[in-house]
Amino acid sequence: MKEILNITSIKTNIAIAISCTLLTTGCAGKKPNANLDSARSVYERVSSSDVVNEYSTEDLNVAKLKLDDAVDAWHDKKPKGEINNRAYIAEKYALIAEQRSTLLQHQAQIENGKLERTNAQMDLRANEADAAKREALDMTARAEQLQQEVELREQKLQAQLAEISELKALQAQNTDRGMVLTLGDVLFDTGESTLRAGAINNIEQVARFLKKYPDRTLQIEGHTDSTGDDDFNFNLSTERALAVRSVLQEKGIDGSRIVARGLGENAPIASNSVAEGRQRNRRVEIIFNQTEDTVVSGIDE
Amino acid sequence: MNKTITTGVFAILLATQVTSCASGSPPLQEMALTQTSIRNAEAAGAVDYASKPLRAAQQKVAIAQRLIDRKKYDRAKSHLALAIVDAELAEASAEAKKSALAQDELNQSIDLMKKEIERAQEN
Repeated sequence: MKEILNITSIKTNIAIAISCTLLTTGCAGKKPNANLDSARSVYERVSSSDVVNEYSTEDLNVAKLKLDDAVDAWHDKKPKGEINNRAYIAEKYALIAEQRSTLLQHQAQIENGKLERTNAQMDLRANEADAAKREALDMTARAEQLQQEVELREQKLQAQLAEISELKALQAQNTDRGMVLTLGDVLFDTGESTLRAGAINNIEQVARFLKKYPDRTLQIEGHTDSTGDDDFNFNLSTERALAVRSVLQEKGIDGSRIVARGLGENAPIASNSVAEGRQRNRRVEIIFNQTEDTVVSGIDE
Repeated sequence: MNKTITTGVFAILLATQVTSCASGSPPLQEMALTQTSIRNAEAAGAVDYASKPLRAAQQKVAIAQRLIDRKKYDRAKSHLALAIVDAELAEASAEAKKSALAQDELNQSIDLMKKEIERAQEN
């Protein structure tokens, strides 16, 4: 039994040996050629490239035919120089296929890129147009704002001119302290602070003006001539100023808008040495304060 | 007698050799085709972008020319056959290289524009 096994294994060994010999014989005479191996490996690398398979299959086919030529020469045991030349040509054709596929791929990408560039150019122009439009709108808005400011100023000017002309109608004078309305001595009883009936009409007009222009505030100043005692004069001027204020308050003007004070004989406007001058010095002045946004303080005569 | 035979054999041998060298006619057509391929490669920019295969082609043509001068037409022909593939590879490589540069340039201009768009949109 063991012997039989041995015989079988010997037979197998012989069979293997024979087939080995046959294989070796099949290769014998065809020495490996380095140039052919190189061409084959270049072809294999190139033919497995996705880019080549997508873009240059025709060139790849040519390279395959050239490689087959070289392999045929090798199979046919042609001279080494012949095999080398064919292998060289095959390798170069494989490389040409690779370069052509690179070129074609780039050309395709360039076409896409041109499209992308056109889109980008359009985006850029759209942006520029938007920016220009925004700028135009901004400028229009600014122009409108300026126009409104000018109109507002114009309205204010007109309003103030109206005020001033109304004050002028009240016989107010334009001075560097503002518009000043002077109530003369004749409106008071001599040495008294009671207003005569004729004065009331004047003050009513002032009250009407103050109601129409609620931002206006007043200073009321009482003055006397130099005749008589200083204290008496001071008191009389103060009482007369306060009397005018009271009448205005009676007519509905808020007292907080009016500051009243007496200056006695200290601020004459004419000489106290003549009767006419003394009469001018005896007076109550109503000074219309200028408002904060006064455009014009008065009209030049 | 012997000398005559020797001379005759030598003459035969010489004749055979000359015949084997000056095989057929000079490969003028192959030479012209190869030179056209080289000019095409040069026109494609191979001098700048594929100088190695271009030089290989030029060297083989020079060798082929010398072989033609010595009437070794077969060997000249096979050199020309190799030179022409060198020249074709030089042309293809130069074209590929130029297309890569063109693509880079295009991509740069696109990037620049995109950045400009981003900047404009930020403002």
